[in-house]
Amino acid sequence: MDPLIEQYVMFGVVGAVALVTAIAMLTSRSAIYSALFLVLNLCSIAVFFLILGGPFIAVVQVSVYAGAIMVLFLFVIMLLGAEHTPGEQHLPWQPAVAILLVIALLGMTGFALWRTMPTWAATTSTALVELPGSPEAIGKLLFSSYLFPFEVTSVLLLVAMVGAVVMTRDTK
Amino acid sequence: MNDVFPQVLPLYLGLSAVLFSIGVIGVLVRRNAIIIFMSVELMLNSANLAFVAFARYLHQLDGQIIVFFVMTVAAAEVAVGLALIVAIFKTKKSINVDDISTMKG
Amino acid sequence: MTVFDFAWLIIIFPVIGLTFNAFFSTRFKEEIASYVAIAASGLSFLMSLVVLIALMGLPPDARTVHVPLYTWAVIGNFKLDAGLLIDPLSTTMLMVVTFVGTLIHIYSIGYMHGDSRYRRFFVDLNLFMASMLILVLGDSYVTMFVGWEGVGLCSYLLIGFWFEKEANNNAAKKAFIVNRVGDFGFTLGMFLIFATVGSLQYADVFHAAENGQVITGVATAITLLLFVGATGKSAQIPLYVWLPDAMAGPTPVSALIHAATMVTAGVYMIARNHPLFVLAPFSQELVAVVGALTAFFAATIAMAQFDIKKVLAYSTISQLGFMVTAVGMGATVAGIFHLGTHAFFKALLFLGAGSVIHAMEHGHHKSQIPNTQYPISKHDEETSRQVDKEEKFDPNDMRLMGGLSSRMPLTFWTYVVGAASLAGLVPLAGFWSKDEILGEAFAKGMTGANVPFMIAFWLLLAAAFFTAFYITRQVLMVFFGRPRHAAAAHAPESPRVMTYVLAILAFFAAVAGFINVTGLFTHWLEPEELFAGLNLGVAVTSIAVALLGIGLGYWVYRPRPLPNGVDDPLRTPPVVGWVFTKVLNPKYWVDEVYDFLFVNPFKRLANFLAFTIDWRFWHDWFHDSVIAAAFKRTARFLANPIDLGIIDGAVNGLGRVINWCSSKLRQVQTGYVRNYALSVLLGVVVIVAYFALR
Repeated sequence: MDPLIEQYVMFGVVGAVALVTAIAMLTSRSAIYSALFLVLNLCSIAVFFLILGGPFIAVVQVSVYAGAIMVLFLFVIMLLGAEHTPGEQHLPWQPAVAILLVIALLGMTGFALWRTMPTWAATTSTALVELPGSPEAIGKLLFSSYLFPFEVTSVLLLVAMVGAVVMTRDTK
Repeated sequence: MNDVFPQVLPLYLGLSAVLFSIGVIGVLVRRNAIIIFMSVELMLNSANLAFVAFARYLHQLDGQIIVFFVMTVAAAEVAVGLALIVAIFKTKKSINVDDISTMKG
Repeated sequence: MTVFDFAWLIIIFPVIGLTFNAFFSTRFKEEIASYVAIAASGLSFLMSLVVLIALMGLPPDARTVHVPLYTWAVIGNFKLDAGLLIDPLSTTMLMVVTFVGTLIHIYSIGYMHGDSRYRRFFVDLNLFMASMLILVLGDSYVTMFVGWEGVGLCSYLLIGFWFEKEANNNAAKKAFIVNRVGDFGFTLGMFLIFATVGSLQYADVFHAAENGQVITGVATAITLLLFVGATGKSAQIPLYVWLPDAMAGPTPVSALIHAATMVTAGVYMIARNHPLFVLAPFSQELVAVVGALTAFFAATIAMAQFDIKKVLAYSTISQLGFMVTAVGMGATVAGIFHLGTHAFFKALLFLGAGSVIHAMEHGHHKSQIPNTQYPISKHDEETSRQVDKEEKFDPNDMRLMGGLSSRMPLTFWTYVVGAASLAGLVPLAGFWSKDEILGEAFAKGMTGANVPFMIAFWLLLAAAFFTAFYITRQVLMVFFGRPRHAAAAHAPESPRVMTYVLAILAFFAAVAGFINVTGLFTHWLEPEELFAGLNLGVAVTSIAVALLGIGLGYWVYRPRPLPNGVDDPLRTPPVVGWVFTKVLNPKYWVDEVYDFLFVNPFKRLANFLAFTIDWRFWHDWFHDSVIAAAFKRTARFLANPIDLGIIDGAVNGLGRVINWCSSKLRQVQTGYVRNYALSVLLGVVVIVAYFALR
């Protein structure tokens, strides 16, 4: 099949899934349903990563994001019993204003995209169409150019851990 | 052989923007703190998508490296954020963000 | 550079003296002030002598030296120069003023000794000298007027010298105010002169007069107005009333100012204005008659007064009348001659009277102290008992005097010389000058067939008779008989500094007349005039009249006991007694008439203006009710509606507005996290828009 058509079809299918699940997450009454929909969304994003030639991060996405983070979310939801939001609405006008502003934001982004689109379309290259994002390649880059951020990130994780423990500690 | 990806790049970026907007609406409209957090995750993911799309477009791996780091940071952030929510829940007994309004006036 | 260029020193010496005395004399003992003043006066005299000799060195027709000093004022086209005029007339006056003035300064050391304001007296005396010298030496009407006013001021200061007594203050005010009336006439005369001639310098005016530029009518008006000034200053009818009251001042003042010098300013002024008077025969006749009438009138009053100085005051008025008649008629030499001799013998008489008063005061003081040292006669016993009973002792009262010839010999003999000179006994000075006036009056009246002048002559002759009478009365009352009071019984002779001056003056009162026996003085003063010599008929008549007066005086006032309660022999005869008590002694009631006509209405007007208009209307009503009330209302208006309402309102309102704004703005802080997130989104949208649309 025409590579372009391939691209379009792949994008269309996965994109639709991502969009639907995102909207569903937004509009669910129950927090559990929202979390599960978000998991599906994350998985679709992982598929996107795969399509876009990043197998490593696709897997990382599934295992870290969808696997660990969302599980954490679900734990907390169930711990707090936060499926449903109690309380009355204090700000009736907030959704309206938010949607307006978001439409404005989208509009401007679309406008910017549309303006720069021709420059992209004109680019041609004969580069590799294979999947360059192998673990080997990423690892090479990670431990050479991005070594410092890598180390800092590990410190960050440590700090986050300590922080999480401290905050939920019983201060008696 | 020519790479056709540049022609679909706008679509990816458009999708990224839309997912981001959905995330924003979620942050502003929902009152459940957990849902708001999840919307934030959605926003981060849309950004990740954009990064990877550009990496594919530019035939460089830097975008993917950045996504790697974003994910790491997101994980740390979620840990801390959820710990916060739990701590707040202990005092307020509610996950409705509108109940945290003592800074009123 | 001649001597005349330094003539201004004559005026400056007293000014230096008075400045030193005014500012520095308190650092030294009080005598220094008197020495400085006497030195200043003496130096003026010496300088005057030098100027006189210098003038005598000039040929007779060149004896008019004009010394311009400086330009005083320039107003448009009108230029006022200050300068000196040195001619025989002014130098004669200079000699009289400075010589007699210096002698009186010396006399004052003794008279004013112990006075608390001793130094101020000499300041005033020097100021008077300076003013009088300006008057005499001035070369224009304005300069003369400066001096004229100056001597008026000094008269006021010196009459009211002992200002603790209200009577003295009133006398000073009377002198100044009556003078002022005269000065008004003088000023109008000056205006008329300026309007006619266009200048106020003597040279210009007399030149115009002699060249026929002044018509008779205008000249008459001018001279009459000037004469009004003269009646004020020289105490003629109707403005003489201040001079008897002026006796309230210290006796040296009476001698210097009110006998010898200041009062003669009017005579000098008429003499100076001779060229104008010549053009106005009517004025001449009027002046002569008024002068003669004054002479007669004052002489009759003098013979009924009991105050020793009042007698001399009226005598001065009378003698001034002689002088005014003379210069009015145009007999300038006779008038000025009499001015000179009168200065000597009248000053002598006044200083002698001062000596007597001084002695009476000392005698009174001594008699108050009980003592056994002095032999007390039976008479003394009676009089000393009198002392215990009396409340008010008047040292001037002649009725308390008597027998002082033995106690004060020098004063007595000098006084007699002065009295004889006044009476006009040959060969004393007064005879020569008075006789010359009578001779001129007779000549102009009889030979010139001029009725007013003839009337003047007869009046003057009668006045001469009364003059002899009253001065004999005074001498007899004061120096002869028995002391009628303990004070007189204990009166001592005065200190040498006073009696030596009396002696010097007596000498001149005796011999000064010889200066014109051969017409020397006439030739000096008026070189063109022919000296007429002595009119034997008139001379004999005047001597006879004088002797008659003296004889009558002796017959009435010879020392003899009087009936009880009668203080003067003239009170007893039927008609004469009535005239004496009801007319002459009360001075013809002139002061009372003036009070009724002028003084009391004026006081009522002044009271009305002061109390009704100024106090009740202006202060109470206008100031308080109108101005103060309006001001208070305005202030209240400004304070309450404007200050409190508007200004405070604005300031408070500003606070309220800010409060309202902040209360409204506070509502942005809703406390809801979602709202804050919304605002973040808003900011993001704005920034993205900026970048996207760039």
